Formats: sequence, structure tokens, C-alpha cells
Amino acid sequence: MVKLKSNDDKEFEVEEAAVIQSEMIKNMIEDGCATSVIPLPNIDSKTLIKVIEYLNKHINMGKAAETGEEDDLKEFDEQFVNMGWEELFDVIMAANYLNIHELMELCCQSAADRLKNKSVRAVREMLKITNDLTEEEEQEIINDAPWAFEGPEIDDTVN
Amino acid sequence: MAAVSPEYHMINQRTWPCKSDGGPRFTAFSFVTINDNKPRLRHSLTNHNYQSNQKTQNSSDFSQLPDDVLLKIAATFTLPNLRAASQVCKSWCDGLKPLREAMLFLKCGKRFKRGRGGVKADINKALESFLEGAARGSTLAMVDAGLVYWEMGRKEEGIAFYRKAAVLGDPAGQCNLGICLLQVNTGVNGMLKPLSEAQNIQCFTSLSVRFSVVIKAPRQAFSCE
Repeated sequence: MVKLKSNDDKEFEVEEAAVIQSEMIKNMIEDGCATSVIPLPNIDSKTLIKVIEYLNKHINMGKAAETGEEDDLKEFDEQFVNMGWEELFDVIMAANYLNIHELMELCCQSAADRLKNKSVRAVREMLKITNDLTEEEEQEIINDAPWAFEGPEIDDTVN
Repeated sequence: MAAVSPEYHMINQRTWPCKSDGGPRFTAFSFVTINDNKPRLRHSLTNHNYQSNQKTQNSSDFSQLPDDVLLKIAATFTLPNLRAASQVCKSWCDGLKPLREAMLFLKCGKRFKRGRGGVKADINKALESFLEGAARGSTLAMVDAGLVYWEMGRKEEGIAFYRKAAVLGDPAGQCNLGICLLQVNTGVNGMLKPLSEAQNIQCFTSLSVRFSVVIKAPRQAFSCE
């Protein structure tokens, strides 16, 4: 068992087999730095619970194919990424920090799927990003690669 | 945009603690004169703002995504998507620059491949362009590079590029990888070997689905240009 501590001081016990899917923690364990609690100052408990849920489910990833649990795992993944943008952002940042390769792929894929074929306005609205580009800068992007601004307009709806 | 240097990029990457501007704080006797008080105040204010931003917004501010994560998300984007994402905000615009360049190489490569747009068809130059695009992280360029390698008979290299694109979630890359592996491992066990191979990639858990797609529509899968 490995103990993880979130930035709001909650401790979680996770099986080593699950937690070593994180390259960062795997390295820590290999280097013998994980004898006591591992503090994770960048991750809050809500996000950490999500991540641990993923790690526990994917603990037997290799075996899943043999036992026919692949569909089960796929369904779990689909359910797992079915979350709001804010939560997804937190999980992406946590996965990036902990270096959990597959979780990263899963979340990035989900983000990409949601952003595909959306207009600039729609993306800004969905992600609550304020436009900090000046008009000149916007023009500069267009001038930089004018050919990239040909072609059809895309979906303006937010969902 | 053209003048953006790597150094600029580094400065623009937001880190904590934020970089000191080396300003009034380090000026001797700065608090003696009233004039100097102003920048001091502003400095501490911006600092404070940043801190509170970190606390209240760090969970939702997508404009703060690290560039490598952003590039990963946008790796499979086609031109219209990339165009939209580049205009979202400044940090996205800067972060996605490699992928916009990749699109340029991709376009170039396609011209060379087919001999269009006033250039003579040259498969080696096409490959060169696709490789440049692939190096910048675009899965579209990876798939095209894989395709050229495959056509040249350099199957291993072709598969390697398809695999790279497949791992990043590119559907054309995943399909082509499936087809190539099926072709390479012909015979009764042809289906089993690619299955276990693809499991090593681990990004696709839905292999059975993907392979049925491959078998149903092999031509469509190849028409990724």
C-alpha cells in the first residue's frame, strides 16, 4: 500500500500495483523515496479520488483482454470522461503531473472530441476563456498563414 | 507571430512563482520618493492578483494549459479545428504554432506527392515534408508519412508512424495500423497477432470494434488524404 496526500490534507491508501501506473510515483518507489506519505501539492482530494478510481479500475489492464473484460473497461472509460470541463481540466493536470500515460490519452482524446468542429466563439464560451488577443494580433495570425483561413466555417453551437 | 523566438516562448510560459520584474523592489531607496511608490504598489498588486487567480481559477482556466498538453489535445486536429483553436486566446495561439507549421508542411508534402501547384511530383521531397510535419506533432502528417513509407515498401517505418498517430488517437492512423498489421501477419493467426500487438499500445481498448470497422471499410480507411 502506498499513501497519497492531497493538497487539502486528506490521505488515501492505494495499492502499489495501481499506483505505479503513474510514472512519477513509480520512479519515487524505485528510488526508495516513497516510504511514508507522498504529498501531492498540485492535486485536490476531489480530483485525486477520480484519479485513484481510474487507477484501480485499470490495475489489471493487461489481463482484461484475456478475461473478456475489455468492453467493461471501455464502458468505464466512457463513463469516466463524461464530466464537466472544469473537472476534466483538473484530471488532465493531475494526470500530467503524475505522468499517467493512458489517463492522459483518454482525457486529451475526450477534450479533442469535444472541441472538434467548434468555432472560436464556441470554444471560448465552452471553456470560459476570455479573448486576450488584440485585433492586430488576430490579424497577425491570419497574415502568418493566410491559406489556413480558407475553407468552410464550422459549428457555432455550444454543447 | 513571425518574430516569436524560443526565448519569448519561455517567458510566456506561466510558472509559479511569477518572474520578478527586477524592478523597483531592488532599487535602493525606492520608498523615499513618492514617485517610486507607485510602481511598488502596482508590483505587489499584480502579485496579489496572480495569487488569488491561482486559488480561485486554477481549476477551470483552460488558457493556462501547458503547451505540451495543448499540443497533445490538438494533435489530431484538421485545419479548420486548428484554425479555430489558434484564435481562442494568446497562449493557445502561441502554443499551437508548431501544429500550424505542421499544416504548412503537410500541404507542401501533398503538393510534392501529387505534383500539383506548379511543382514536379517528387516522393522523396513529399516524404521530407511529411516528416517535418510529423516531427511537429501533427498526426495527419504522421499518417501521410506512414503512407509514403508503406508505398515505398519500407513497411516497418510505415507501421511505426501509423502507430504513433494511433496512440495519439488519430482514427485514420488506427485504421491503417490495423490494416497493415493484418497484412503483415497473414494466415489463420493474422487476427490474433495484431490484437495483442495493438494491446501494447493500450490506448485503444475497443479493438474489436475498430477491427470490424477496418474490415468493413478498408478503402475508406486508406483514403486519409
